[in-house]
Amino acid sequence: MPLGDFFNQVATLPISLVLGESLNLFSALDVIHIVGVLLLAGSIAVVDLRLLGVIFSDIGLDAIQRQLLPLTIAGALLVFPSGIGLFLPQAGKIWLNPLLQAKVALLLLAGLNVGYWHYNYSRHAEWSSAAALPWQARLAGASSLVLWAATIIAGRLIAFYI
Amino acid sequence: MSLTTHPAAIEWLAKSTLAHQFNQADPWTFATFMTIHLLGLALAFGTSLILDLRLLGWGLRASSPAQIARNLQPYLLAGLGIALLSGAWLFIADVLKFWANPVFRTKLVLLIALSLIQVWLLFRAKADGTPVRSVAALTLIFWFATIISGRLIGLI
Repeated sequence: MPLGDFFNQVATLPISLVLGESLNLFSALDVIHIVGVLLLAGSIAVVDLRLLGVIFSDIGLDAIQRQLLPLTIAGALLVFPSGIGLFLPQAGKIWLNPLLQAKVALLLLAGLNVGYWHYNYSRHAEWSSAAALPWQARLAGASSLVLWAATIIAGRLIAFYI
Repeated sequence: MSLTTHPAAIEWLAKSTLAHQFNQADPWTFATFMTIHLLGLALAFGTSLILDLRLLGWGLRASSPAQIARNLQPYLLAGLGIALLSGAWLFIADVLKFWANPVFRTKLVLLIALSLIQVWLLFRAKADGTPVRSVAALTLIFWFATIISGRLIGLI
């Protein structure tokens, strides 16, 4: 099945129709999405700054990551379902939007970056409490900041590309 | 006309050369300022959230509020400054449209109060002031109210 047909079908799912027909519901998803974005990106940015070594060098990485993770998870729980909800009713057209495509690609890269960092981190117990972190950590922090900022930029600009 | 009901300062701002110049900017300049606004907001909100939650005894307990305030200060203030300046640009570019929106006026009051309390909390925490749990809780409520009303400006 061609992708266009697939997304057209997605847009006619019962849930897509419900979301698309209710202006209040759609606006609510919009609000939830932005609160989630700020929670997710804001908490991740602080961990990234620690990875870069510019803040909290007196606190071990394990403590920072453990204590800030609930904020990131709360953000993810708000942002992903609401994002899917915003996408569904528009699926038939919006999947062609290059900024949406860029955003999805950036999101995947940001996710891979998180996964790769945690894989790397799990193999180096000595990093968990070190004040000065190795270049791998600084690279992970820098790429995370760039990827999440780029995801927000692409996401914000979707509406401007019609 | 409704124009006459605006406060003098709003009238003056709407008619200023600056407002005219900003209003003539091309759509991508608007998009750029909106995007910068969001990025600044993410930095300001994330750092404020961590400080305010710590003042409430939650979150980053590995560090004292004073240490957290010292570490986050440049990023919190930079994020807040970026969000306020880019927000001011967006407002000046369309003064009367925003002023006519009741959600915008609500947000304006919220964000002025929020900015003042958040900066006060930052310096209070940095100076190792006595715990100010109720103010920290109030500030968090203001943050969410400001973000929600900010998003609603474009929807109402």
